[in-house]
Amino acid sequence: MTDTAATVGDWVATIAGRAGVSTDEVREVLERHGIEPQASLPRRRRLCLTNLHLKGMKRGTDDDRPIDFHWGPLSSGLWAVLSEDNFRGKSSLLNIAQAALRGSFSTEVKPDVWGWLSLVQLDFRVDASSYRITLEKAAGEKDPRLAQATLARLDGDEWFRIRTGPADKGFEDAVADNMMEEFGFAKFHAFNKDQGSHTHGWNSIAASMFVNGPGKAVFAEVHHDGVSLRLLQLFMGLPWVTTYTAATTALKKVTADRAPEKAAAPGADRLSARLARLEAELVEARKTNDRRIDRVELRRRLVDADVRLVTLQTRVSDGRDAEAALTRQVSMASSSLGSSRGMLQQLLDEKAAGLVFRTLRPVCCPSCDAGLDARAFVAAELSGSCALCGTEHVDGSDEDIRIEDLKADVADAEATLASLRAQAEAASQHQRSTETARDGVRNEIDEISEELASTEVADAEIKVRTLEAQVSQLREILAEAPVAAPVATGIGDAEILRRVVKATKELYDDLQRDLLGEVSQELTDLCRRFGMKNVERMEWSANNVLRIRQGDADTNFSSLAAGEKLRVRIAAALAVIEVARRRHFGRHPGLLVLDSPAAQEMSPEHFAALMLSVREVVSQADDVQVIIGAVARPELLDVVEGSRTLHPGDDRFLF
Amino acid sequence: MTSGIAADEAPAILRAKRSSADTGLHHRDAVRLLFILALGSEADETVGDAGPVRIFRGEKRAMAIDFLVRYPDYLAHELLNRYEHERRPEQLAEVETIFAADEPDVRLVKMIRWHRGAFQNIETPLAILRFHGLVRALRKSGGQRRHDFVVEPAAFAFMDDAIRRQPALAWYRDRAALVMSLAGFRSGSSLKDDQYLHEEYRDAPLGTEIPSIRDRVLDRLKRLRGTP
Repeated sequence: MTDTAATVGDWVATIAGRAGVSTDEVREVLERHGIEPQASLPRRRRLCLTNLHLKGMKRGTDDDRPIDFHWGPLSSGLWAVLSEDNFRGKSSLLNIAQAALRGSFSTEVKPDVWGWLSLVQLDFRVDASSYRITLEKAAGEKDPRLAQATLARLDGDEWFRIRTGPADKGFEDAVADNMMEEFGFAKFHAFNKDQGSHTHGWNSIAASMFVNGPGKAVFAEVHHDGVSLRLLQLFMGLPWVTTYTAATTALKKVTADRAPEKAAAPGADRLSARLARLEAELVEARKTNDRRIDRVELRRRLVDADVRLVTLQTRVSDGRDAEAALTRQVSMASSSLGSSRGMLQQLLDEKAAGLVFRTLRPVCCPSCDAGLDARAFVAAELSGSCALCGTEHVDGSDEDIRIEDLKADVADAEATLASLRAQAEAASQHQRSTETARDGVRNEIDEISEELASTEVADAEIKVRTLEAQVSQLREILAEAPVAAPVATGIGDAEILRRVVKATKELYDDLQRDLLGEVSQELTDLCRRFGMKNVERMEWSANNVLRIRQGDADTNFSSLAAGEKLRVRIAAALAVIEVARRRHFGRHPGLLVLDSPAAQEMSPEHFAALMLSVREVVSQADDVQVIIGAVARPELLDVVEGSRTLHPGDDRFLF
Repeated sequence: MTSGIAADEAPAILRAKRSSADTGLHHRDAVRLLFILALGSEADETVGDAGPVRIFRGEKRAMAIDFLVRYPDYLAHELLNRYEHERRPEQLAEVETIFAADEPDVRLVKMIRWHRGAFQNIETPLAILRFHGLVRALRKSGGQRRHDFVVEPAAFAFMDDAIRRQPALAWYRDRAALVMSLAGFRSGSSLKDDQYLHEEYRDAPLGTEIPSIRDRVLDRLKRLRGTP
């Protein structure tokens, strides 16, 4: 079955016939495993970088200044970015172009250079469609997520913004989706034991267009998952290839799932038990989390409580002053009363003492001890005067008036003190109640603050999220487990998939062999032109082994010297492009960016010679764009014409 | 007197009244001195006109005893000292009675801090007592510096009669007796040494009234009584 124009219906019927099942069953299996038939031959589309514009501010160098770099308009053909020495920004420039093309800025650009930039604008065409990827950020900002990125397509005279937003993973995905759609690429699937099933897309494709050294594989920096082979098949434009890779991935997965079926049965039980426990825990955690506080409401209450606290604290403070003033008054009134009572007591005593002394007859003069005449004393007393000094006796009424006044004073002082004590008691009670109210608000604030500061709430949220993730993971694992897989009917998915893989491969096998033969021949020719003179034959097998017959010996890509690997990588890209050009189908975007290899990988002379050959090849293909970055050796200056060279000279930085 | 201002003014007026009055209450002072001298006296072989006399020894001692009569709070402090040693409940009750009757306010008759402690010129009350033939100063003999007082037998008859006529005066008898129960026949110097232990007494500037220690003693009483 070598008819490349086989229809989807024929394909399904073939599989159903071989598997002995209905076509509906086959379609179900295909749908269940996400296998979409892709039968048509892809049209060639060309990617061409047209303008690169950078703005920013260089900082922390010997040459700090504003950046306003512009390169363009570029077209197809060979272009060169040259500098007098290394570390003049060639690689940074090419990496910025790659980063923009991938919509992923986080890894490709050196952090210091990235920090300088405030604008990156890359214009490119996919056939006639003009695209622009713009990145704007504050110069100095290092975090790509804080940069604003835009993918736009020129529609008439206006740029239509396909996506604008942070330069994050979402933007990277948007660029990838757009480019995959534009080039008609389908994401290709891979399965390995470590990562399980996963897909490769625009990132792998774009990365393969940037060659900066020998690399580990012909079409990729990585050499696993069969990425290199899949890219080769994609670039060659084989129909049914993505269908085939999806089918083989599904088959690998189903087989991998079935293998541990018997052994894993007790494991599945344990997983189920674990899942049940986790689900129970999740229910509890959600309950706890549901009781979580409304932080906004708490903050509102906090502000409210603060206002009340200030009011109450002011009242407490005023009340304390009033209380202290009253206490002072009570103390003074008490002291006044004590004095009055003391005075009264002493006067009363004085009166009593006076009375008793007056009952006595004088005996002698207190001064000279001379005896006194009692008769003279009696006579004096009768006359109302002192027998000793003759002074008239003071009327006792004065003393009584003083005593009465003091009694009134004491009564007043007692009333005042009682009144003040009552006031102080009332003030004190009021103060205690205000203080209690204030303490209540303080406690309220403490409680709110504690609640706000509580990590318990955050912990509850984290716990829920963690449990959700664990439950989801376990459910996924259990769902994928053979025990739970709904494949009990008929001959099973694996058998049908095996037939899908075989039938699909048959559909493109011959074409692939044919194409690989042509690519191999072209590759051999190009490698010879690129200086691998003793290469007799290069043969690219359908299982992605590049057999090389070199000087009577068989070798392979990974055994080649670094310089040879680089030659092969460039040759392979150009061979694929050339074969696609001749056959009028294929998907290689036609862009190749070559950063100069390290000196130990290839001497500058050899690199110049290689580039000369590249120029010849490129000149024959009207729609291929090759951009090289290199130190400006005289031999290289002759390779690329001046108008197509970005070369600041004088050992200056490129931007 | 309902406002704070009036309350603030009143004590000053009263203090003014009181300090002028203190100097003029000679009969009261004479009665107090009489009871102190009589209850603090001891028998002597001297026989006066009216029979055997009793002698009170030491003017300084009289001053120290007078201080405790005039300052009920200092007396209460001494009583609490005794209570702490002997722990007899009635001793505590005596102090409680002093405070219950507000004696540290009502019975306080302030003394002046002078070079040798609390001092009050007793010449006037002594003259009253001498005038009535109750007490006379004993003439000093042969370089004797101490002033002693002869308490005539008539004094004891007079004291009984006075209390009968004016029962309020019994306080002086009782108080003098209470103080004597503490002071006994200790010398004036020894008694004053105790009084100097109070910093309020010791540190009072010369010529000023010795301050009350009422609140401090009241706190001590509460602590000993175990009440807040």
